[in-house]
Amino acid sequence: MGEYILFLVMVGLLAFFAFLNILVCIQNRRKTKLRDRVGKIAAEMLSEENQVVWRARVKYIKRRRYRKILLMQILILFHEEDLVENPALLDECLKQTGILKLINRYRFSKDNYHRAFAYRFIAKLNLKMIPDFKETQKVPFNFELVYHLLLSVAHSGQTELFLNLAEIYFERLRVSYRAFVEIISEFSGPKDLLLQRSMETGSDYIKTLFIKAIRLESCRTYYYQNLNSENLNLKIACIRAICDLADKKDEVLILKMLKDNSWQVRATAAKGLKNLMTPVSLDLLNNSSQDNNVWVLQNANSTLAAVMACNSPIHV
Amino acid sequence: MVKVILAGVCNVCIFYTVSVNLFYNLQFFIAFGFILKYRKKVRVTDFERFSSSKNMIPISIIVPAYNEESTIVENIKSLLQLDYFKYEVIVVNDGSNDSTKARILSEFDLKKKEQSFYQSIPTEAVTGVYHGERFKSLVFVDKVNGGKADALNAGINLSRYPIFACIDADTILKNDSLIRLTMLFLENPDTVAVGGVVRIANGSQIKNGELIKPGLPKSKLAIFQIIEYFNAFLTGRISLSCMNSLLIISGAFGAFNKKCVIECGGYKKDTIGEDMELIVRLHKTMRVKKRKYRIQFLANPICFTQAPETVADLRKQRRRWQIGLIDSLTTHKSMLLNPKYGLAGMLSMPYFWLCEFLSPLIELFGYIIIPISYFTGSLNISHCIFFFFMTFLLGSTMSLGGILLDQLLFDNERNLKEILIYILFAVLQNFGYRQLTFLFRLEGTLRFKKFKNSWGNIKRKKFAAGFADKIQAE
Repeated sequence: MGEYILFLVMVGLLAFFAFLNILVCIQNRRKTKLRDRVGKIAAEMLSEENQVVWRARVKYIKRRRYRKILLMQILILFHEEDLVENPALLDECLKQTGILKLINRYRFSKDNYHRAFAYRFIAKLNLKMIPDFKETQKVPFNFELVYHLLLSVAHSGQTELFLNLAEIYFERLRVSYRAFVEIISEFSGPKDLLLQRSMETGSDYIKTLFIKAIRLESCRTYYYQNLNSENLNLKIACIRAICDLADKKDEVLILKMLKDNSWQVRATAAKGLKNLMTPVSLDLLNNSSQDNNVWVLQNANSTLAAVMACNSPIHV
Repeated sequence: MVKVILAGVCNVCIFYTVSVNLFYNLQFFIAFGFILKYRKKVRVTDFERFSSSKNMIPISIIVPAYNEESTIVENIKSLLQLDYFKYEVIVVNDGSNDSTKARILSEFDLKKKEQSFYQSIPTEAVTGVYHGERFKSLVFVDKVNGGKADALNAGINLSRYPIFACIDADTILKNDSLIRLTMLFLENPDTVAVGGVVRIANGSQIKNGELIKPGLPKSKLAIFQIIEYFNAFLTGRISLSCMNSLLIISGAFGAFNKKCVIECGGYKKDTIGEDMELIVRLHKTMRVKKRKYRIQFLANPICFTQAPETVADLRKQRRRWQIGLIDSLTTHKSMLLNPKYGLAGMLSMPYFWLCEFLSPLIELFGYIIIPISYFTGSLNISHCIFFFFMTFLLGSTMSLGGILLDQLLFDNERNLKEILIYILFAVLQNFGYRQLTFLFRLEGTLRFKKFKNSWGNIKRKKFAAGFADKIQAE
């Protein structure tokens, strides 16, 4: 008897899975159609001049939460130029469709991905919904959430709030430094002021991140200041920043780095000299091409080859 | 007495088969939970920003090529058009004796260049490194034949970036697959290796790295393999990855932290299962060094490959897979049930030994012992029928689960007709196809020593839609 029941359960399970497959397939087709439709509506809503048509579109989106989410997903993928073309119409559209309300709800949702989605939307559309201090302090260490929260603050250009968050999250969230560099490079406020403030208050790690992200002529002083830091990463970031600015006057300063005890510093200097090198200093670099470390040697050789090629008779 | 022993053995066989199938079904539920969460995550991840960002981790793509003249040019073209800010494509010609080298050099206008490089991993001699003016991110490496692993090691030595991806010469990457793969290295610096889904392209139209028109292959054998791949990738690998105990990342498509791979000694040369062997060794090394690490499998960075359409080709492929598996498992047998290696040793290793390595032998034993037991009267016929149906039902449910996971992940690709055909084939694969692959695996197990170092050639065809010629020079 037990065997028959088990058998029937298994047959039922098989039928259920087959049914589920068919159902998901039909649902997927519907979603695709709906996505196409909302996509068209999104483009129309940002350009439509006929009020009656526009209101009908708004009503259509407003009716279902899923349609609002779809519209948000589509707007996120829009080019920034298309979004700023008619900001008043965009604001009106977000307000009338109820998307603004939805974002506000998502910002305080318990679901990390909902929160992250709300911040992503705020950042991408540059909405004036800057997260307040209190809101930013209680964020779980979820990559997407922290990333989009910081990005939305960076877009708002608030120096102090951004620095405060950088100190809270940059060192505690175990993520590649590149993600933070990307966020800092999106900061829309005065970047030199941001770098200056980070140099005053930040740890070596924070300083390194800001130097990696901000390469400005006006910030040259900070690169020089930290060029002799004991922190290897900070020192390397400064060498790279100076080399990227490509001012031949810095050549002597970087050539000195070829004699550093750390091979990482020597390798970075040898590589960076590609931007600064004049034939005058070829001898010093030649010494590096006999360095004990293979990476210094390789970078020095590559720089030598590049400099020689630039100064070859053909180029002249 | 004999009857009792036979009945006991039969019961063990039945218990084994049912528990293996139940385990597979359990894997499905773990994968299902993961995919639901992953769908949410993918919706908020900013792939677009990072694919064009100079702050993203640059990556080297290594393509080992041996006698790939029919598909290599087209595949390199597709690799040169990926949505990624900074990457290089290193094609390593492993001493091909067809026109692979000539075709690449003429098509991409490459010239030999003196280049020094550090040999982090010893390989056969590199006879030339070629670069071109038109395609600056393309590097062609010519070397003396040493096998796929050796070619990959040479590619690692020549790569410039901290992460490398290895890709088979007969596979095509989806445009956004690189960014999806490398995001994991960005999100978690402890990531050592990441694998992606390999999908069968037979019957579908692919153009410029995008699936233009999904379709069913004409070959029934290929349809069975599609369903098998759904299970293997979306159920098996995802569930093991959730527990950080994934033991295989397909050689067709995977990305690795270069430093960690060099630390491990690179790919092992004298094996045909170099992809699995490397992953097992990475687990071992990281555990021994007590380092935090992640080896992950991601559901939607995908690449397309061609499935064998003839029984002879399928036989060669499955035999090779089985031999590679046995080689990796026996080389690292010290990990089996060893708590020092965490879940990789305590769960994945026993799983691979019991459900993959020994299963053809146990199945063979079952096929012999069950009829004997029946004819000697030690097995009840109703028991036997019940066992057969249970195995069939569990197997079919698992396959339907795989199709479901595929639909949840790639939600706008398949039409109802296709799904109905997949459902039908998921049921039919229990009658013939499974037994066929069982025979090939059995052959691999029994003739392990003979074929240990033999790859076997599988005929490749061009992909259904050629890549557009509009590819532009950088």
